[in-house]
Amino acid sequence: MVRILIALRRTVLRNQLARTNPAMLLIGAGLVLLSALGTIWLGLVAYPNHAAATDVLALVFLLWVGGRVAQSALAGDAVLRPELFSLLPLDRRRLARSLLIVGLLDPAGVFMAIAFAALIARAAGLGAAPTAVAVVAVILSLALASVLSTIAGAALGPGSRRGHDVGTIVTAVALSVVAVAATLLPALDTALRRGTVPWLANALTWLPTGWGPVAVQAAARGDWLAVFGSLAGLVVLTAAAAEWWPAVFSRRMDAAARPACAGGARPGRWSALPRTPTGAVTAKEVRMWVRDPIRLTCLLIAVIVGAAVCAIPRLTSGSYLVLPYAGILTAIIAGACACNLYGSDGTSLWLTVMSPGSSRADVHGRQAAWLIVVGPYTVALTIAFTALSGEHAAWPWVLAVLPAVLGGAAGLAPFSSLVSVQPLDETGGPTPAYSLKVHIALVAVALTAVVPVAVLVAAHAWHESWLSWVAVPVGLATGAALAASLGGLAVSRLQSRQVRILRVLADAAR
Amino acid sequence: MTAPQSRPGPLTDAEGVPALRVAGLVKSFGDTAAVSDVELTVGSGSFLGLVGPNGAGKTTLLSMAIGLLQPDRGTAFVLGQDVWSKSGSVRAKQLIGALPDGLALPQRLTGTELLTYLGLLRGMPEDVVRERAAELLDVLDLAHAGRTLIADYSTGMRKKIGLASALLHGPRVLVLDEPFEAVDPVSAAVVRAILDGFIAAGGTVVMSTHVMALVEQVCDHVAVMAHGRILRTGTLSAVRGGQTLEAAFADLVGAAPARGLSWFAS
Repeated sequence: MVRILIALRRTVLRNQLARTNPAMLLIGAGLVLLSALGTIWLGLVAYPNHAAATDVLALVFLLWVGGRVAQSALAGDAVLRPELFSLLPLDRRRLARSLLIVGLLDPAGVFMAIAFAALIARAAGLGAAPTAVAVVAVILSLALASVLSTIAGAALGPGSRRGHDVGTIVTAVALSVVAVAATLLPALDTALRRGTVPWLANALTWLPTGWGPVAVQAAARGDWLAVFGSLAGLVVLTAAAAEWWPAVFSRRMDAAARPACAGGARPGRWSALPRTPTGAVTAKEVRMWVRDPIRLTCLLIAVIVGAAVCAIPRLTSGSYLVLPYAGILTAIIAGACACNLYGSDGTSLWLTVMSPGSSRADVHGRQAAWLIVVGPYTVALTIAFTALSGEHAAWPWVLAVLPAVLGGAAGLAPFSSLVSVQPLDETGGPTPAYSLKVHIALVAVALTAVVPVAVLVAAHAWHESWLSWVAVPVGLATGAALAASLGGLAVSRLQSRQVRILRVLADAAR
Repeated sequence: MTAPQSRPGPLTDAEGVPALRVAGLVKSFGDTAAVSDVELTVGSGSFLGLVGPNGAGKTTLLSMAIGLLQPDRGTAFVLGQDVWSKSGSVRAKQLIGALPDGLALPQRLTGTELLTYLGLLRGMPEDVVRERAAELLDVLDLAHAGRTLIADYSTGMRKKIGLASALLHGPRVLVLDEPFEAVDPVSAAVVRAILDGFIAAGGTVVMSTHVMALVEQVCDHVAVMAHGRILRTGTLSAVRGGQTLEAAFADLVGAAPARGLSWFAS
């Protein structure tokens, strides 16, 4: 059965690859390969002591395993979905075991194996026994990562809508943490080498992803009890996860066969909004931001990454310098989240097309909803973190830049959503092109603050503090002007192109 | 925005104007001609069934007729209003109630929220929206699913909420693509009663379907479509020509004789 499943997966993947942009594929594979090779380098460099090396390698193992499991939870297995086999007369335990073995042969494992070779590279400098322990630890860590990602894909990945909704949100948090840690890897690496964050070092070595590096360190100092304990821990955990897998698999199969249960949407909490066309769109959009897992995920990522990137320098080096800008960074990321609203909504655009004269209301309602959802917490985050930081010089900066970014993003959201509309993939998830659009939108939203920043830079260069306060009304005016002008452009574009955009979305949905 | 009509009433200002007129519509996808120069006139107060095999071009034709798909050539008129002209399209879309096939509804809204959103989006007064939405949900047996998201609706429930959306603003012409697909027999009877009432009040219905028996029960006019062309159109009895609609349809589209599978005999 394993051979049949591998052949099936290979055929479907080959067909999928034929429809994928080869440049996009090469860039993606190249970046992951570079990251894997970069990880090996961490196993070759010198460390002040064994503990520092163990901590750093435990961190990168966590990032790789966390990223792999989170990616699997978000996308699931694109080919061998459990539902595919629900009508076949196959023994479920045998099928589950076969899928687990197929999961071990996933191409993602190759990149992880390259990255995990960092531990073997580190152990090679410590002697033959640590090297042998490192080889065993790498194999066990790879097996654990594979089993966990298979379980995460079935339990949280695309399938039943409710499971996927929860899974997407859980995954968003995990991916955000991994992304923040990966972005701040140099800072964390330095902090771990210097031993300035003992709580983090402890946490990393207690997690199962740290047990491999811990075993190698123990082998180097001849502590064979610790070696045996760490490796046995990995074996037991992997075996326990593999034993749990058939139950998860079976539950997924049963869930797929059950009809959807009545949901629990909370009714009418937006009655304060005007009962007008714009008010109707605003209420609908606020609900979408709260209920659509892709949108909610993006907002969660915005707040976690925005707050963490600005707060981590405080934790690692004691610097408060960037703390006031957490709200602004959150607003920029949340603005980029709104760059493909029509693509996310899919063919329901036909309702706007069939409601004459509704384009203006549709655009303005989407702008209002984004501001209602994002505005309050980014303003609160900015005020709280700036006050907490004690960086009084940051006040004119944040008060000038935040309104420009909020207004700019509110303008860009509907406009960019109508440029190069990216439909969702067949599982309802974002495509690589969608992700690329979000990254471009990140830059575009950040650029909306250019005018007040220019005033602030001039004030700083000329040492004119009054000028820095002039930037505040400039920021407010910039935000208002961008929201109005880009909103106006979006209305014209929606009026003139709605049928064409609907066609793009309908073609993708076939 | 002009206030919507409160209910479909008899035509007084457009006496003799067809409810729907398709004028030389053409649409190709690549090298495939989906709709080839189609002319079709649906009189006011008619119930027309558009029938045809899979891939005949029914959905493409109806999408162009109501303004959801840009034709390569030709246009359509709803009660004399050109669907594809700038001035006429607004009025035409106020007169149309549409249930397209294969296009989504906002998945994360409940049925009540969807109808409220659509009613207010069309500029209807709030109290009218509330009353009509409640009545539509009640009559279509969707009231019990008040807090259920459309994403959790069954296919039949989606058809019914789609029909409710099409009826909410009081259109004069209903264009329904496969309205009875996956709808249970009890609900189908309710839908038929609603459509009968709509016709009795002076409205017009154009409905695509594969079910010939249904057309014979509810429609007074039929158009048979195949390979992007209308092969025959007229009253039900004229198109049937003394046989069943299914037989007449098979004659028109030239259906091959049905065959069994060879291995069943072995």
